[in-house]
Amino acid sequence: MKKFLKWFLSLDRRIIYALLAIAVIVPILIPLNVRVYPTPEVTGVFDTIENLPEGSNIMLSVDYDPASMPELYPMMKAIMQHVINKRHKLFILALWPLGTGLVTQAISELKEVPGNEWWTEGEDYVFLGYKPGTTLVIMGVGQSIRDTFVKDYTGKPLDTMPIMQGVDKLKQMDYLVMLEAGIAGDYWIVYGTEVHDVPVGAGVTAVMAPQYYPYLQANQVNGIIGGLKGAAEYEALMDFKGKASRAMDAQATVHSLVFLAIILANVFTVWLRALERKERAGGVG
Amino acid sequence: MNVVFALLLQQELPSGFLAGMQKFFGSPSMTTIGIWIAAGFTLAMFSFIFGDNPLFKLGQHLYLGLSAAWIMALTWFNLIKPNFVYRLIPFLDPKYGQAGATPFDPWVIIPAIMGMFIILRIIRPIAWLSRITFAFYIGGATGIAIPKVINGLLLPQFYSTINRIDVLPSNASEIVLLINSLILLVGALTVLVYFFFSVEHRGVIGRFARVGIYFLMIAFGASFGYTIMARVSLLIGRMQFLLIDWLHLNKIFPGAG
Repeated sequence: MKKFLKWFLSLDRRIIYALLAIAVIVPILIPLNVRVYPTPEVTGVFDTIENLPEGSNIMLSVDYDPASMPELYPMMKAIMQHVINKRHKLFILALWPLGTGLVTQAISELKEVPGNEWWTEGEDYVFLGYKPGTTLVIMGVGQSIRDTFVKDYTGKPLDTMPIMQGVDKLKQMDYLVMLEAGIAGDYWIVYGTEVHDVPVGAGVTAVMAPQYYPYLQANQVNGIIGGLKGAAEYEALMDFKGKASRAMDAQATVHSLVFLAIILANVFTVWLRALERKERAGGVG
Repeated sequence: MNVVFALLLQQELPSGFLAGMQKFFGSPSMTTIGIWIAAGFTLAMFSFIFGDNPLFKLGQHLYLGLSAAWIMALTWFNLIKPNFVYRLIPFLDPKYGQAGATPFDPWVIIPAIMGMFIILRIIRPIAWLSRITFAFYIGGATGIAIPKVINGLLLPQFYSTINRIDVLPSNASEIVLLINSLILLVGALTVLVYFFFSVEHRGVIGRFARVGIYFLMIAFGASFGYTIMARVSLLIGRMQFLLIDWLHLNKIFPGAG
């Protein structure tokens, strides 16, 4: 028994990786259709967008890069589709340079979705692009969007766009959704939403989600969409099965595997120590 | 590929050239080639399981190189050109003389010079010039940050920690809120005590610090759990790409995704 316990506790990490790969691949190919139950944190963001009157101004800050794409991209697409469904005006900006490519990709994919044909650049949405100097950009948007960005991502002057008529400041936004893989979200709260009193929801990577709960507790954000699970919850609220929802089968399987591994490793460690103690006691006796 | 065109559109290139490029890169065969390249590099990244190897290094270096090149191109076309070059030399602006052209603005030379000072750090005899920029930057940032952080972060967080503890609960949900607030308050205070190293952690202080450690362990545990979830999500994302987008296994396994 002792030999088995020792073997198990010093298992080659590649065996664990192989088990992990199986736990991911099998549910992707053979779906288990795990149900996703939306949490109040995600519902907070969804309900705000849902309950705003048609044509409200929503700002989306894309502050992540392809390294966080599996978590935040499905979330971004779900939110953008929700905004399209509710016929709100969408103002997108990126505080991370590599986020720009993800925005243009999402826009072109969403335009191909049947029913979204009416969604027009400059009228229903504008992509302001990227500017460096996170805090300065946030403060600039608080003062004047036009002065901060001047032109949109493709070089069209903002002044000529119907969507920009009568809109120039952060405080004119009815809701801000920030998609965060770094510290920009803290800056949005400190330099943007707290100063201009704009309601804000946070879509964040799972790693960052615990950091945002104090903001939720203090009502500084009204909702958190945390990681791929949060994105799946958002999709569930929209009654749509996207990439995030489909990934939940694999996520549940892997979590079960990790859970089992932690329990077994702890039980076997205690067991091995007990056996060794017993052996030592027998030897002394 | 749309991204490439968005960047190219910044330039006054012949429209026929752009349309041709768009057609070429947007074609199904180019998309397929792109997916195969991405799949190859994904496998190269996974090869690290068997230790450091040239394939992994190639993928890593290409990713970093491409990211740097992307940021550089974006910065040049979207920032330096319209905000510096065109403002200082307006006739370089393709819209020069037309409505919407960038106006002449000589003041941009000041931030440009201060930016150059930072680069001068690599030349030892004049590296001290960078201190001017850093002093200006740090001084300005601190001046802006202090009042905003106090008003936007410190006070709201402080208030939310002590909120509700002075209200007598009248129903079950308010009792739960009160208990929650008390736990938060005890957690915040005991963790602060733990990080207060000017007093030896013995006696009452030691016991408070001990409770603080439990709160910290719970916080780290939650963080660790979320981190595992995040890393698994990244793996799932890549696997979905390999199995569905690349290998099209959804044609063999109906409902796969």
